[in-house]
Amino acid sequence: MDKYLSIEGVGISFGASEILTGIDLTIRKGEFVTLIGHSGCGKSTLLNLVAGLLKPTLGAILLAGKHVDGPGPDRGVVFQNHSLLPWLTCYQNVHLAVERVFKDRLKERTHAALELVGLSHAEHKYPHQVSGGMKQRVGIARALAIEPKVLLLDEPFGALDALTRATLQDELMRIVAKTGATVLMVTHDVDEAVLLSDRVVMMSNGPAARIGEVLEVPLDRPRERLKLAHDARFMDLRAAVLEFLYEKQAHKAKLKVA
Amino acid sequence: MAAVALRKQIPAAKASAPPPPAAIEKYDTGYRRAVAPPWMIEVVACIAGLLVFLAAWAAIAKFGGRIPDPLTVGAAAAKIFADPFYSKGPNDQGIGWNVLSSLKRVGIGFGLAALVGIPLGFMIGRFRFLSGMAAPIIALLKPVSPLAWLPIGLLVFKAANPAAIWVIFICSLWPMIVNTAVGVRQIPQDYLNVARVLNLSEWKVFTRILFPAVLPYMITGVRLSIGVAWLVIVAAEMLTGGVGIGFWVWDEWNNLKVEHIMIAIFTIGIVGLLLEQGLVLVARRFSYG
Repeated sequence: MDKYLSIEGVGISFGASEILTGIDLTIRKGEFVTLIGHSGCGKSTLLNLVAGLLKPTLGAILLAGKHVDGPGPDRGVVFQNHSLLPWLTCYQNVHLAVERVFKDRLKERTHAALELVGLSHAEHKYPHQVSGGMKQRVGIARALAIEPKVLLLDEPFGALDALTRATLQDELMRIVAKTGATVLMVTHDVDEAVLLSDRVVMMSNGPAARIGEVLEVPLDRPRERLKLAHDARFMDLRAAVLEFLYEKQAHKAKLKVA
Repeated sequence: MAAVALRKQIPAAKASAPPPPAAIEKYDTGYRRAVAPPWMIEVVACIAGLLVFLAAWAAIAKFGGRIPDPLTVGAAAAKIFADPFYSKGPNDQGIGWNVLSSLKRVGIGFGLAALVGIPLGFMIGRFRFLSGMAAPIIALLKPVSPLAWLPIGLLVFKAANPAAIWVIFICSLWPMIVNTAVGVRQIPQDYLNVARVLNLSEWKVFTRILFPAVLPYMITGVRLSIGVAWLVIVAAEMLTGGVGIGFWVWDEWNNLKVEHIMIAIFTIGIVGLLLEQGLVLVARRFSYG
């Protein structure tokens, strides 16, 4: 299963403006890949293409040998702003996804998903009654509960404070290790990308953004945040991403601001 | 330097800070600057406003003539509300019956408007083409006084009661359509994306996302409609006659019982206020924080 998810020659334009062009990327089953790049480079657009929320102008996306043609529950999406329905409890939010996909053991599956993200105690609270980090956990539970082929995360921790973010990153690593999920994640946080990923895909600046470089992260798992903070290999990988973002892509980014 | 200076100041400041309790007692004049709680200020303001209103009314009654003063109206009200549900034929009924029959007309007209307006609002909000179709019609008809529709009602239904209900229907319809449509259009894209990535059925999308997301807007529409309906029913009943608070006002005008007209004004106001407040409570129940 070397080509579990494959993005083949994908490009997308909105009217006359070309957002992405010539994107080729294949992801193995069980691999964790992050997309990183300056804001506006189209990394979220690429994720939305895989989610099926957008249709590519050129090329095609295949998931487990099947052509991606529109959204579907074989992909679990976690949105940046949690996107929980405020009139449903945490349990009901997850249940809504579960009952769409499964016919049996709905309650059990819903409970299991919430337990996986450590939220059994808050099942019957409404989203506005729980913290931002907990909302995002429910979002992850909802995405995982449908047992998707691939988990798509769109800057899931972008709106959280640094400490909560770190906790959730550790949680995510634990969950992914436990479930063996295949993950494609968008981020603009260099540490997050290196810490979580098997590969970091670095995007060039838009318009007509491409994949600039792909960085393998050969660090052993499970990874520990504190140990890695002093790990020379981690530092080098981190530096490589920073160099790409702030040297190779810096010039164009400045031009865009001006 | 500064640190030294500061350190020097500290003992001095400490010494002058809290005087011993004995000192307070010694100089206690018993005077306290009382700060009333906000609700008390509100209640006092409310009572003060009513008193000013009554005083102005009494003054106008005394010097302007023709208008009965508050005490006369109060006494007449006591008599009327002692037996609000008497019935001596179709043209002489208690104020309770009059209010109830007006409320019944508002209820029916308004209910029919909800039945038609809410689904229509959903469709207009959901489909751009329908919205384009409806926009000129609504823009043209919304500013028309509902009473202008009364002759049409009389012509079609050939009776006063359904014609009055028809007027209520028309005036409640527009706020209901417009608010529901606005509610549908403002549904955050995030919620619709959730529906899309899960590939929810149309029924689930409606019951779990569209309906709850639009509900607060619908309730606003309902509130506006019922306010307008209650305004309009009085005027409609003045024209159609029969039983009803509007008719009662006109009847008492013909009898030249001005104090009863004043009572009717307050009754209409209080019933309208209760309708509004009831819906505010409903709205609060369905607002999501």
